Amino acid sequence: MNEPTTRPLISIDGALREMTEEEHAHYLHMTSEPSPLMVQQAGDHADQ
Amino acid sequence: MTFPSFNVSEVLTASDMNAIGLWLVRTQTIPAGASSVVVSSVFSANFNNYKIVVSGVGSNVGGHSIKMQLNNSTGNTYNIGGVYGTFGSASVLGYGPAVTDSWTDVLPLDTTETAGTIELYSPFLTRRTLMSSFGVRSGAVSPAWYWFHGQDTSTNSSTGFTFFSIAGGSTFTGGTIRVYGYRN
Repeated sequence: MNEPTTRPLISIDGALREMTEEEHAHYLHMTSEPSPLMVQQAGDHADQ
Repeated sequence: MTFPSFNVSEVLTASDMNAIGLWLVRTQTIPAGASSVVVSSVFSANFNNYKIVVSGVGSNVGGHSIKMQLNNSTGNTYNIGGVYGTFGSASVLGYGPAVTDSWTDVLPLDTTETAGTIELYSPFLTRRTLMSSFGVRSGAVSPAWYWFHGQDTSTNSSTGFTFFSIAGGSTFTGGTIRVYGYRN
């Protein structure tokens, strides 16, 4: 028996629900790496 | 009628109403717990240019950003660049990442309070979309300000957009998005 999955929540025009598999894949693609600015800011803090 | 002050029971003429320059297209609440926020059907032929005002926004993770993608433009056609800084420092820092599939840091995001404005030019028209954004985050983790500009070289027509809480696994804790259209 498959374990139930818990995916992140998505808001569609204000309504909140669990992401579909396709939405989750897109979300992971969009957030899998830190943004270049977050990397740069981490460097800023390290220099201070 | 003495425009723009309207009196009770005054007749609103077409010429007066058509002189209104900024029209509220949508007010949308960001529900707590959402990792991404879709705002659909807000860009149309009614307006060429838009102002998106974001306020009262928080995240469960401090010191990061909101990522923005137009709904019909998902390729590597987005550039963003500009300057940013942190409160308490006079340094102005440059930012100019490589082309990618979204505006990666369109607004700052933090645990306590974030607000900002995105000016969007021609998202619905079949031409390049240009963007200017400025925002502040007043969080305990990393209070900062961004002032960025961007382009999307895709000429696809988009009708909406998605905000992503950019730190992996993070969520929004609330907030409000207001989309306004500028009269053509």
